[in-house]
Amino acid sequence: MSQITGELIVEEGLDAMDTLNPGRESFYEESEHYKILRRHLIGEGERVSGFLWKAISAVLRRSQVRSALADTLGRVTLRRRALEDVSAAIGQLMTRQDKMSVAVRSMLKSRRGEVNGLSKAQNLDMGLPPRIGGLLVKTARHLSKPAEIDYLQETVTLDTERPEWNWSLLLFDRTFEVIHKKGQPDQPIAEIDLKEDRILVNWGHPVKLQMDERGFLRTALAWVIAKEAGEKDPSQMMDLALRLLAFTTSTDA
Amino acid sequence: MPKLITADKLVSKHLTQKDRVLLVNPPVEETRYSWIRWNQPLDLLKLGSFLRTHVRCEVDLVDCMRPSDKGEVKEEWLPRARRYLSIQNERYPMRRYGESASLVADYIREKLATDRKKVPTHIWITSLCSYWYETIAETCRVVRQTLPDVQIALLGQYPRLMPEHAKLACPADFIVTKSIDLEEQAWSLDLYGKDKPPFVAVRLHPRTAAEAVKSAVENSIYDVTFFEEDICRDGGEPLAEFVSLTENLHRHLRYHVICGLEAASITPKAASTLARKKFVALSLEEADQEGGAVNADAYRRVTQYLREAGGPEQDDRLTGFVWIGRPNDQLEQIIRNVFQVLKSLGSIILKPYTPLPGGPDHKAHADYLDAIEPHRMWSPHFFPFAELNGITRGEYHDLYRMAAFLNEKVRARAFDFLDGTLGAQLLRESLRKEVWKLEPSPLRVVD
Repeated sequence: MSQITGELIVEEGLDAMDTLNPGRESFYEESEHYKILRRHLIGEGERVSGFLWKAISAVLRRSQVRSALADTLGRVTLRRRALEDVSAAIGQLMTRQDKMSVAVRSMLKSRRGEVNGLSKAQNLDMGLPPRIGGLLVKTARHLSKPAEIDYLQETVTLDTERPEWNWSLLLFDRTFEVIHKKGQPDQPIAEIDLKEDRILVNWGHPVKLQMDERGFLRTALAWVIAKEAGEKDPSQMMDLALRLLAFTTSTDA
Repeated sequence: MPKLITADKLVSKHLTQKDRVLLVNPPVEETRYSWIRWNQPLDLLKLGSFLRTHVRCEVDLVDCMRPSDKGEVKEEWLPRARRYLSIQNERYPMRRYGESASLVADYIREKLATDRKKVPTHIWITSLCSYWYETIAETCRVVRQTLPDVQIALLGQYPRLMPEHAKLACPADFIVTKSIDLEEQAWSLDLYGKDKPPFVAVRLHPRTAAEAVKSAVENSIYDVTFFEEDICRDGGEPLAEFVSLTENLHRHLRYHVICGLEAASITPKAASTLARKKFVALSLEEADQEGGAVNADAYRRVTQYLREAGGPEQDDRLTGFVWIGRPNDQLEQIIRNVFQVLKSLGSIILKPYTPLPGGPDHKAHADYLDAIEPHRMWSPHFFPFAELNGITRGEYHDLYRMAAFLNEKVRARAFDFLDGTLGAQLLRESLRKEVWKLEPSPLRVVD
């Protein structure tokens, strides 16, 4: 509080002679006008209230909302980046035209639809949160920035047309929908359904406890693609999974 | 699976007036890119003009390699796992040159957001070298991810020289195996919109090239370079005509000859054109003769012609290329060539060699070259013939260091800092004998 300064302008009604000291830098504390002003500005008693409290609350709230929004956008960006990494890794692998690219190509040509249990597990909603920082979430398309906050209407508008909100995964020339499942710990980490073009990811898998969301998503996708393309050859499976995991699109230089 | 097609068929069968074509010059991933400031997709600029005039469709351009006003092109280390490429015992740092393919995605998203009628229906991606296919595949991927239904076509050297490779490596719709002959097609830099490049590249069809330069000058672009295999062909007539049509367009106009200057084609008449002050850089291709040695007479003749045409006594604009990395390379012969060229010209540039897929050297060494996988290893900077000619990549690096040392100049004259011939002579001897090697290979003793 000691760092907050401000200017108080009283346009009429103030008895300046009895309220302000001669230097005009402070009030007489016993002045009734001062007591009224003080009550409206900072309230009474130990707890701060009044206009100052409203202003401080508004500042703190803005900070909380911005922080919650940054967290939400950061998380979806990281998740999207995980998908981009896997997509780019497959793209790069296909240019090499070696044994592994032949295996992936063969997988992508297949229309097998063998999923085991995860399809029946409950979906995990990783879409839009209903509120961000206490403000109601609305959606819009093609905003000039990822989100807009309206404190007066108490809403946050998210641009859901942006790639961060997209859960599709392009594997070379085929697009898959990534579906999040609340599976059991003993169920597979992920399953790929080549018939329906979807990949089911089990967020209930214990591996999730060992890593962040981006790391888990990359691992689950690399694992399931390697398993499916590896054609029961463990060394090829391992090589492929490691190559997919080692690949990243972001530079840290 | 993409379809192999000629450019003529692509245009006639798959394009209508209602289409919107986005032409893309993708970024490059390489270990070094010396001529980066002169990258301009001339094929796309000509194609764009052709489509606008003949098909009357909308055309736009995204050039990831466009240099800034200062001639700088963005470059960035590749991400962690791909940051170094190891070949034998050499480790090559890898960089991405130019804006990443996400520039194309940003373009598409901006059109989706502002005006869906401007969203491209076709995206055509060009390629300068076949071994730069990785960024082409990545650009395809980014485009496909952002705009799933767009028609993607690959143009340029990569699909032309390696159609089957492109078919398997890129999620495109069309692989263009034969381009349209656009030699006489007029073009301009208008496709760049307001962010124009700082130079204009031309081929020597004098009339259309002059029009392009005129348009560039109107946009305050005064640097001109030539993308031509033999600039002084036909006795230098096309060059002379082009220069006469353009040299008075602006007093700041400058011509940069960065390739295609063949000593054998330079006649006294061509030299009289090249001697003009507006030619600020003349890079002479290596003048070969039998046995791998350079033709010293050819260099002497060129410098003499230039002097007689009024050029300066010591013409510092002249630089000579010296090939390295060829199948029959011998280290001592390269060093001799370097000194021979330096005797006549102000400086040298080592030019790493790689064969053209399907070209004579590829056919002559097919078994050896086809075993080099992946194809990116064909980049001249990785010296694909190193295992064949027995010169290690480390030795090629020593040659680069030597060239940098020799190109150091005082008062614009190589070797002046040695102030006399004895020092130069000793250095030459030392380099020839490879004195930096404690145990020289018996196969590589020069004397």
